[in-house]
Amino acid sequence: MTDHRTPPDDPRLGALQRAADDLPREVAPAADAWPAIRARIEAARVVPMGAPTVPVRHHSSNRWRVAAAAAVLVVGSSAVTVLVMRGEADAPSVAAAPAGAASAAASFSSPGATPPGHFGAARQVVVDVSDSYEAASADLERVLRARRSRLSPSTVRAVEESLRTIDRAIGEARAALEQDPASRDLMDLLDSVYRQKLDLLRRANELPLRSS
Amino acid sequence: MRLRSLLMLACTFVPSATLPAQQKIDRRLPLDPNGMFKFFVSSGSVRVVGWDVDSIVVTGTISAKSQFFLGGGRQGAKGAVEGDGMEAMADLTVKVPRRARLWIRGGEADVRVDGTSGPLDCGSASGTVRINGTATEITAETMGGDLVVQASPDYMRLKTATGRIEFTGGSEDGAIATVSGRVTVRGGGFLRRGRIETVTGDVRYEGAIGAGGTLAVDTHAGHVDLVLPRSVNATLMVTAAVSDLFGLRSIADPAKAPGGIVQELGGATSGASITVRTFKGRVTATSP
Repeated sequence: MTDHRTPPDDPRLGALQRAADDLPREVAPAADAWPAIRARIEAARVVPMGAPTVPVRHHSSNRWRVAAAAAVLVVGSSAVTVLVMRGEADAPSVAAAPAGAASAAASFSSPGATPPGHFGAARQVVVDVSDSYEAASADLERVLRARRSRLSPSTVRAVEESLRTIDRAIGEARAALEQDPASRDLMDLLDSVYRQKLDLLRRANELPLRSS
Repeated sequence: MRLRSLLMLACTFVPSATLPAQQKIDRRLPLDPNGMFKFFVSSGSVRVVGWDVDSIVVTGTISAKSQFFLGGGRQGAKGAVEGDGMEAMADLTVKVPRRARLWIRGGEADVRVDGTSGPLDCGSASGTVRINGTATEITAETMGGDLVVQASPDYMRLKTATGRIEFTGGSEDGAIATVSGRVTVRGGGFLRRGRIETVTGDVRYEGAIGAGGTLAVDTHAGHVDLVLPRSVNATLMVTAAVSDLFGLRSIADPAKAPGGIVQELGGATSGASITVRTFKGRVTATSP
């Protein structure tokens, strides 16, 4: 596209204009903001009838933990958006992928040069997002451990197997992000896996308990 | 002769000693055609059937030590089988007004819903969930069981942890999420907005996508197979370690999908877009 604007006289203004031109024209929303929005709507919804009189027991603190998890989802998704904006503005470099994930990580890398300071900032965003999710997960996992003995064995198996699968995926995605912290696709996938973990824990903590 | 008598006596008593005694259930309650109904069964199975009568009818059997509850008014009612484990085993059929708003849960029970058209929210902790009908809104989940849906709701959310998810039909706005279950979508597919997320579960999408619609498939390690109708008009963006896009015209455009592959299907004038990302899995796409 041809730029018809007259170059400004003030060099500082010129630099500002060039920086503005480098910004992405549009920013895609976070991978899926709807679960967080829906979680907030559900939390505030007026339920027309009470829960059935069956042995369904919740820990009294479950609700605020779920609300806290929903808040983390929003914060996490926003952080991902920030990372994406930075990542698109400063085309990241191709980095050597860790052993075992080389081809996978390479397919998610973007060509181009990256200012040295950018990797540090992007890595910090990855760490911050991960820490937020991990803190929320830890709370929900504590609740799950307290309820575990009163869930059916088949349910416990399914939940624990799924948590192991998710944690392996988180480890692999974080290892790849360590090499290429500005990869939007990798960050989106990590975000997706973390959201799945929180959702799984939330659902497991809302399951009905056996009465003895 | 004496031995034979003893054997006959043993045969007479063994079944009643090993199988839990049962109670028959046959209860009715009036409910408005679009009334709300909540029902919970902890183990066994429950089949909910929509009918054109403004009443709830619950029939079947429950184990002797469990208790059955059913109550409420014309606008809303609820029922449950209360007990624990095998003691709360139930095998029930529940007829409800077809357009009723339903909330059905099974602890370890299998849940089946047939022929209802109102909003449906159902799930089970470890049982299988099957839905077949014309519900306009479906939210369904199970942890370890399978989830099989044959419907075309405007709004749909399906979730499992390890169980497979099979959706046959079309949905305006659909989202499917599982950790390790296999996902299969057949039929009309997602018309306006579709999202499929797995961690290790494979995905097979054998459906269309509406004009201007979006479909996003994200999986960490699952393989993704897309079988798109020849008539589909969309931009396909793939980011994967390995991809085989058979018979699709390639237009490499790194600006649109850095590190990935972009393909235009059928001219892509509709603006529909399909995005597939898998960190470790393989992507195949065909348009026969």
